[in-house]
Amino acid sequence: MKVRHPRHRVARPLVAMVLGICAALIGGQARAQGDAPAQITPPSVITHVDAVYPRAALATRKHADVVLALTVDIDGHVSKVDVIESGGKDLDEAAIVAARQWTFVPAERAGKPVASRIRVPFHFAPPAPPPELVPPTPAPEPELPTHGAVPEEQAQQAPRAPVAASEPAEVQITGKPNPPSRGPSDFRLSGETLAAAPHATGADLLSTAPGVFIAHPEGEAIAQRIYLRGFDAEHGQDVEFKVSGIPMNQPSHIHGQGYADLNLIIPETVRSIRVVEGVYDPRQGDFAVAGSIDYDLGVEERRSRVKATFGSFNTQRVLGIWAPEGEAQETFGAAVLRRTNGFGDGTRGATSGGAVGQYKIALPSDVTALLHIGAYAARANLAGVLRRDDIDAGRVGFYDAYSDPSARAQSAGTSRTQIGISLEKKTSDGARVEAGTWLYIATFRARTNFTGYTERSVVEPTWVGRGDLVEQSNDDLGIGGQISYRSQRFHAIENTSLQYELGASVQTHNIAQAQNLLMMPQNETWDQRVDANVKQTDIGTYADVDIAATRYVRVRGGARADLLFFDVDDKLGNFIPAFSEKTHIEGFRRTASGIAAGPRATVEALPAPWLKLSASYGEGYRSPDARTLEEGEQAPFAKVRSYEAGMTIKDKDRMSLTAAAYETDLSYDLAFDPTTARLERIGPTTRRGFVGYFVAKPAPWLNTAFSATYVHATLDSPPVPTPDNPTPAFVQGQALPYVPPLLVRADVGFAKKAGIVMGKELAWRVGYATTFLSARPLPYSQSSPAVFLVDATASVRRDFLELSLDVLNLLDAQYADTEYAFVSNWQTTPIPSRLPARHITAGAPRTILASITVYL
Amino acid sequence: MARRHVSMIASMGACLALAGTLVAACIESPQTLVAYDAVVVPQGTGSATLRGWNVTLTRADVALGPFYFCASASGSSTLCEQAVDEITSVALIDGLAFMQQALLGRVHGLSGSVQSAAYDFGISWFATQESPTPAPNTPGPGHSMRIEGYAQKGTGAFAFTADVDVVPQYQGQNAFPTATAEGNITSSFYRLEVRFDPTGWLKQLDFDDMAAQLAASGDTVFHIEPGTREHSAIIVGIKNLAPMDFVWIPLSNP
Repeated sequence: MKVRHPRHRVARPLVAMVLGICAALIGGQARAQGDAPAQITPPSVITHVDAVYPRAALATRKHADVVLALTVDIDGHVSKVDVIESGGKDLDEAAIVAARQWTFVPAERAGKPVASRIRVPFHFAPPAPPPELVPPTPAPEPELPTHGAVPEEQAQQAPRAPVAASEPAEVQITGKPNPPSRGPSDFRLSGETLAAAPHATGADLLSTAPGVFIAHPEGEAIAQRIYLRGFDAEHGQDVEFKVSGIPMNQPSHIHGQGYADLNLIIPETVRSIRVVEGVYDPRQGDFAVAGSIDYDLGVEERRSRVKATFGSFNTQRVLGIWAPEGEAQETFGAAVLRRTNGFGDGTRGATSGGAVGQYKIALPSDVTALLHIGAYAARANLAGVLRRDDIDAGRVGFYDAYSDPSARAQSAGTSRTQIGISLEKKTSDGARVEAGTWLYIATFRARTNFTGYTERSVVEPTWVGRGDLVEQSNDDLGIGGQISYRSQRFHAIENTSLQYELGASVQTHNIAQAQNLLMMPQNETWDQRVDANVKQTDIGTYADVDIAATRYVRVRGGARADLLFFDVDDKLGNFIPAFSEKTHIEGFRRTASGIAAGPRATVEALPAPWLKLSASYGEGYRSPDARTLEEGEQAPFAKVRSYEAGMTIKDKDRMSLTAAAYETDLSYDLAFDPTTARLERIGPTTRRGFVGYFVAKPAPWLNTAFSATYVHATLDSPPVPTPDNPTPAFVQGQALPYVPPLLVRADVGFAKKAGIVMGKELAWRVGYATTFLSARPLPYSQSSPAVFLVDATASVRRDFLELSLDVLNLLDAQYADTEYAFVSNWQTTPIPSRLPARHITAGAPRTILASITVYL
Repeated sequence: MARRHVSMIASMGACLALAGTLVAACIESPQTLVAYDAVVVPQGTGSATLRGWNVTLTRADVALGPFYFCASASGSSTLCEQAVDEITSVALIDGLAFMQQALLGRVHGLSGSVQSAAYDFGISWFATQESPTPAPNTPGPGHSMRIEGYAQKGTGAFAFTADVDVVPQYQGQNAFPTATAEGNITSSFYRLEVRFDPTGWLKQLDFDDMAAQLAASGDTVFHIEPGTREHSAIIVGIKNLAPMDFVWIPLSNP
């Protein structure tokens, strides 16, 4: 009744479930981390055999975990088995019988095989009742295939032991725990899926996720713009981003609430990405409105390398990665330098560079630490927006910029340096304690002009028409941390179990920000709009439980509450215009606070091993921009309620289909206001839709992912009319602007070995991705045309040398990366229009990048 | 069994794609783009009795435009940065063509409610201009209007001309920064009628004084030029005594 590599069988007569340990080990997802000086490469599985649920245990039908310590000899055989965690005599014996049949590539130290000791968990679950005599066990965590992430149950560690030449080297199987699924829209993007098509930036990796579209309308020194399942999340207002556990969103940022610049991420160092669309996990905090995205960094192939890229628009990029053998995948160092002239008429030149380093080390008392440091700096010129009517009339080229000095003066410069350390300790009873702290310093300065010449000075009202070049600066010092305790899994009653987690997080920010208008070419300031210091603190706490109610039903959920405190020194508050009598001293200092709390829950039903049904509900929030608050105001959080129901059909690692219907209600939404270059409130919004996500690996050399997301996003009620805006652009029931109702994405990758060439193996890889965006509604009854994009990649590698060619926008589609509708005056007509007009930022034309990589 | 799963999955995927495509076609449009003609409808007969003088106009060339129609009750530059509808052209019209409706221009914009208007008489001072600038097709050239006529009282009579400049007061503002204009435009099936009576603009003129000045000077024609008291009186007439009326006439669908 034992099965070897049963990946192509949907139902199998197994009564024991080994949770993905085979895939994790074979795929290199869990790498051993040895004692650094010893340079030990961990053993990897060649053959694994599932444990068989013993008939003798059927009477009790109990669930249990058994953890074994295997000694792997230099021939790759299991020479010794010790029971570290017992599940009972029968189950222990079943696990031992299976484990003794495993074979390995032995561990290596300094290139020579050595004996090693690893820790392997087995989870036993009783078979389902008839009609099948011995039906398959419901999988507790039938996740999508992950790459580089090890299910939690696999992320066990063995205690370190001194390594002697005659003794087995004890190595640790490490990896980032894969959090429990929170429903069908808890997507895990594996490295394989991400690698299928080319991605220019770390943010662009997200394009592979269902319902996500990434745009770069403001160049390389301003954060990407992200659309996620009906949300125009701008620069991050509706999505909580984390990189190696460090929050990326910057609260109360001058350029947009929740601003998150993902340019810090070097795409070659991303091991996997978790995209949760919706708010169903109590760990999700501020800005998790549309969802949350966690980048897991790691370098799978343990070889250092240097990669040089040259291509269109005089783009040059040099990347170096240090990834020593014998270290965990999380341990690496990477640095990148890049410069480009950019497409168009020379107004998109950019220079950027970054470095990310991580080191994972084992500390005494079974504590593992991950040190992280990252930095990024960039400066880029911006082409800005163009009016559609000017393009259509031939007054300006699609990829060009206005010749106006104010338009040509657009630029941005940014930097971010962050450090973090996270600690993890697993106790002998299976509980886990995690703690981490982080700090970042981020600077931002941008000069953007969306509207041309429409503004009038507030300071000197007679000053007008000097150019709407908005200068924004934002300096943010953020510090924070988190701690959590996850209990062991309690098995009080047959077929039921319970596990809970308690956690807390804190972060505080000291922000200095300003916004002015500049006149070109003199670089003179002709108006002041913002000059403020903001101190903001977020203290969050959550509780989460995971209950296996029966063999077929599982409930996960809990609640989260956050206290936010704001201290604003608004130096331009109570402003006195030039023509007014001075009756007071300018300035308005104020404090405000508020509490946001809400439940999150997911119910899963597992009627068959290949089918999971889920329903989820959650409440999340987005904090307000501090400067919008009044003295003593109860901070008006934007409250989001997410509903979802769906299912996942999974055929082991070969295929997975997820389908879900969802609704998201937001108490108030924000939309980009080009006159202030900031986000402004509109009103409550609702999004309803459905998503389908299909991942398949029908052959070892073929990897595919396909997603289709439809959303019906509407404004529930219009904003409150004001004297200067009695008829706001947004009216009740209208389609939310800028949001594509239909987004279809496909990623396909082929990778194969072509044989031996001059004594070395030759491997090739090709892949492509297609993206379809349906017509996007714009304000004032306008809409942007649909977009269809194709990206492709091809590479060949022999031994230490790899040549690759990436083509972005293969079909050279001329498309608008983003499109807006607002009033502008770029002096292209004798009489300026005051009607809202369509403006675009051009998407990049066909871009060809050739790379050579040398593995060291 | 696996084949059955694949088939089921493929069917579901097809349904998803089909449904998505169908529903994606439904995008609401709360406001619609509109475009319709604006015409000038001069009122009166060109003659009027003003302060005891029978005044008859023989020429009234008027530069009109641009026009911005606003949703706010006030159309000032700070309260009407965004228009509902607009005419971004300047037309030179004959203010005495009572029998015809001269085309003022094409109105472009959005459906919606209009509560005010801001406009120029051919001389604009846009935010990007350092000084008030006349459009190329203004009478004179360079003036907002050229008015000619004669005034008669008893046996006395004299001819007069007026080169009138209706100039915006501030940079970035219209000459007529806010005027009443009420309409609710729901489609392109409208015609905007701009109605005015050019003789009404002369209500504030002191013809007795003008006749006295003319007699003192010995000239035969009284010339009103910018900067004079009479010019100011005409400006008052244009802005306050006889402002334009804006009437949106619904048209039946063709």
